[in-house]
Amino acid sequence: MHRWLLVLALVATTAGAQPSDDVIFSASFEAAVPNGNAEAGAFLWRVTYGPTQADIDSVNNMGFEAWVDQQQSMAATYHSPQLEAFPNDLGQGERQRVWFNTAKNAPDQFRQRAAFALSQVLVVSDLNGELEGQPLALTNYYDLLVEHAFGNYRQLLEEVTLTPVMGHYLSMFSSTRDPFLGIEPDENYAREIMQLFSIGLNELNIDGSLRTSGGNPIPTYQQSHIVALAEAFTGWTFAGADQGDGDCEPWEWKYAERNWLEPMAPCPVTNPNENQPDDYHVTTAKTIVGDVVLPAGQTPEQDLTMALDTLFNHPNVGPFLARRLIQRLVTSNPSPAYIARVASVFNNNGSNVRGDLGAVFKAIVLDNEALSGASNNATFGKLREPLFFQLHLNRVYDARISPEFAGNPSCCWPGAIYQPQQFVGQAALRSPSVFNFFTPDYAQPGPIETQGLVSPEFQITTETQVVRLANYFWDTLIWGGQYPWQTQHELQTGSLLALAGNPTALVNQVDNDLLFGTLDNTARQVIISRIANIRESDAQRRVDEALYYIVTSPQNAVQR
Amino acid sequence: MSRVKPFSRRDILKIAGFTAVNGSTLGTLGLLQRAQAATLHQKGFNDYRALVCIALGGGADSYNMLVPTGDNNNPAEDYATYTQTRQNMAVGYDVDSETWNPSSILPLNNTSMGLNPLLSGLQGIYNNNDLAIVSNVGSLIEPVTKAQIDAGNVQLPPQLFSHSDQFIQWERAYADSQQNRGWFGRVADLLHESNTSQSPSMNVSVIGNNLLQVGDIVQPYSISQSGPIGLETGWDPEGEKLSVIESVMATSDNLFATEYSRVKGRAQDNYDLIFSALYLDNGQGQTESQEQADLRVFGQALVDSFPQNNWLWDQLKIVARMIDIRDVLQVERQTFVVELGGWDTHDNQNDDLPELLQLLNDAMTAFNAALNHLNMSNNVTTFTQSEFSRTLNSNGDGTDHGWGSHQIVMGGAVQGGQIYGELPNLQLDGPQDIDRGRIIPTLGVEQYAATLSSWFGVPTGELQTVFPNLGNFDQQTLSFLG
Repeated sequence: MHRWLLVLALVATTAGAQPSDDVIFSASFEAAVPNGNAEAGAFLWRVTYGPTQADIDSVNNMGFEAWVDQQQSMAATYHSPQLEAFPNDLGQGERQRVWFNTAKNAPDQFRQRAAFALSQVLVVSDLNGELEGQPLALTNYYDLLVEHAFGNYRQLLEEVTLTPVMGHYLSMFSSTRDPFLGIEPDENYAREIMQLFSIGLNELNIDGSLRTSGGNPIPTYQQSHIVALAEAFTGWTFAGADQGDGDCEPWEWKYAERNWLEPMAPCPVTNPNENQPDDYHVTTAKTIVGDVVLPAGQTPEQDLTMALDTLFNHPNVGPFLARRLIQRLVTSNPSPAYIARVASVFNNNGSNVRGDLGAVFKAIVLDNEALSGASNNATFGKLREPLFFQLHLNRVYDARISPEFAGNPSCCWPGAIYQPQQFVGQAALRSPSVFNFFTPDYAQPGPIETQGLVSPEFQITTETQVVRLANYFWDTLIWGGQYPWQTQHELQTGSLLALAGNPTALVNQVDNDLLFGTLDNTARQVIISRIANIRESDAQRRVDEALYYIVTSPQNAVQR
Repeated sequence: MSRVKPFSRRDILKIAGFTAVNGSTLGTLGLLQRAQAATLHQKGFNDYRALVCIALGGGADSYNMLVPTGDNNNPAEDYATYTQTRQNMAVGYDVDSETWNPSSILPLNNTSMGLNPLLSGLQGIYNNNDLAIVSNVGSLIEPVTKAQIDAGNVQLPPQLFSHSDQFIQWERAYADSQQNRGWFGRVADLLHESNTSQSPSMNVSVIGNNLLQVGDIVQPYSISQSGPIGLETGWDPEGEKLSVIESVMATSDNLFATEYSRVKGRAQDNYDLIFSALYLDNGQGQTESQEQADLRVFGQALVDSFPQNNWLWDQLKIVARMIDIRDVLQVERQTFVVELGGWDTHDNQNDDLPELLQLLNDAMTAFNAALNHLNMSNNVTTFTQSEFSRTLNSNGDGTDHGWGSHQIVMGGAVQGGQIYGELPNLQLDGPQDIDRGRIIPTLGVEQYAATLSSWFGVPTGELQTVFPNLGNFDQQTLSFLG
């Protein structure tokens, strides 16, 4: 038995997990080694930004679990040092470029995927007046997700809470009560950390289903709990705000020393006057979620610790996170048993540790439902996120920065890698709101909704967006003939050019490279016929169109 | 938010307006179609009407749009009461002197309420009787009082003050429903067969997918700020490449892949029709640019007056252009959705809110002028919605989530120059304040939406089928549309 399965069994008996033993043990996966490239490829679509032949060979040789173990033990690739290496004038475009290049090139692919998934739960966005001008702070935030992607959620939650980035995005920064000015603590972070980062709106069973009372959902918290948590989160500002006299003046509290890269810190008042509260932290007792009482007189740090402990230990966190992370990596509609298995690992990694994200991510991608889902269930899988199409293509054909741009990293026309949202409708840390690019519950009206399923990615998949994405590939692959006017990257397609004289071989090779030979046979024949109609001397055009039709095919749009 | 819940039989009956149905084996669609056949005796409209929803995402602070200027101790209209409550968030607050002065607030005819100084365009339209304000609307299941809330003996919408929930409740206008249907969608289900053409959808979105326009039958159709976007295939006179794309699209073997192709197909279906109506030949054998098309439709003087760098106006402009080609589309009833986000002003409100109000004012003013130019003002009613207004009191440099809010309705059919509904008491801990100035609404979203629907063509007898909770309110429609 695999080690983590033993863990699950232990959890089931010691932690009172609800699913039966049958459910737990159905997690065991028979296929420790992939049965061919298609299975290896399907696995790798979930854990990388697009599998290369080398990735496929690795998984075929090592088997799934050893591959995951190796990935999880790799050193993390951080984004900030790459951004800092840019010569000057850093903007959010350079941050996007670092993100893209890391996603494409970093060897720790699984960690990078996990971090991106977490960035869609612990959401911040540069579409924010304060954050727009802080690319390095955003990258610093992203690196926290990279660092703790296989760490502990409790620690990640605390570090995220105290970043100036989150402090500004959800306005816990310099939140206080000032009776003289009629000012109340800002409720923004208190509300969203519960609704979106930890426990959600309603009480859940471990399998993610709603607990009910008299047939109705049971709200996890009341407005009074939000007000109390807002009080608990008062008293934090930029680190080093006090300019040295030990007394935090109002101008220091709100405006001084903009230290975007250090965690926020309290700023004690030692010499109160009529222009400020006696203490920027609200020190009265607070009754937060679960009617936990934070006693009067605690410091900001003490209140924060108790509050985050309370949220972190709420039984909702496991199923809440499990569903969201499964949806990002594997499938839009995980079964309740799948959610329960992953949530159980969140609750106890087998060493009585709660919140072990490394164990959670491993459980997500090695679960039997993931490894055999496509063959067992016609509705398994998910629409790919828009950013993945280009990344996948660039990884498979190892796109390189064009020579004319290579020596000048921040030059030139801002293309799709600088402004991906304009071209493909999505960019890292650039969602329109804290509710992410799409919600976990979005159900596309029509057949998906009718079957009682959800399809988060379809929320941003409109008529205009689908066509825009296809046209992006038309422009870059065909109109540009791979000329890097948008991507500043060139695909290394020499192996395809060599096959251009044989349309069947060419199309089969692109199919193998991108889809592991799963292209629909009717589609294959139609594309081959079209390629054969392009004159043979125009080999590049044959390659480009073959790539276009397969990249924009329905098979390539769906991960399963 | 909850998972999708399949229709309950009761829900279907409510939508369909049936009181009794025989034969429970009928499928959902069959029931609805029968219902429509039964309820819609007349087919065809003899005029054009459009509803345009401006969604102000994030919770717009409407207490700084409509501002008291009175000096009369009426706690709803008295400026001193307002400033005492709002402190540094009040319109007219001077941060240096820490004093308040109402002199910049724009006066409105026949009321002691005024508009934010940045809403001068809307002031003009109001005083020209083409704009009304509906006061203190919010998500409700039934009318509620503070005493009832304190006693806990009244139905309240779920998850009050949560963005996602309140936003959806505005879109549904049916607060205790879990159905993923919006009121534009339900109205369209009822009326769409009376349009001459069923394609494209009568519900057009400039903001992508949204719940407001989702019905059982009618789904939103998305366009960009320049109209529909078609697949590029380069030089393709025989349509060879397009046919390859379409053949590949048709090979979907998975639910999600099929849906992906369906969306792509919808984009292609109406592209030629709409695009060629929006963009004509420029006289030199080329298709017009957007600028050329704007000049042709609106004229130089009007184009010169249009706002620049205004994201909301960019959306409203394409709505006006779509309304302009209504005869080509052969749709007599249309809904449109546009949005201006960023209203969640927990922070920096005194910097951010003015920017948003300026964008809103400029875009709505330009839209009004554009519709006048097209002689469509009487045929188009534009309205705002936002999930909630904000706390009356300050969190330092912003405000938090509230409940009731003021909304704006604009158009030639509007009985303008008036405020509808009761102005709320603005005292902290007053009779309408839950806490911190979260104001209990006195009008339900249903009443607001039903009034708009009634003008749009929903028969009075059908209003309660579209808005199942409407019967909980004494006054089903308001009088802001004649």
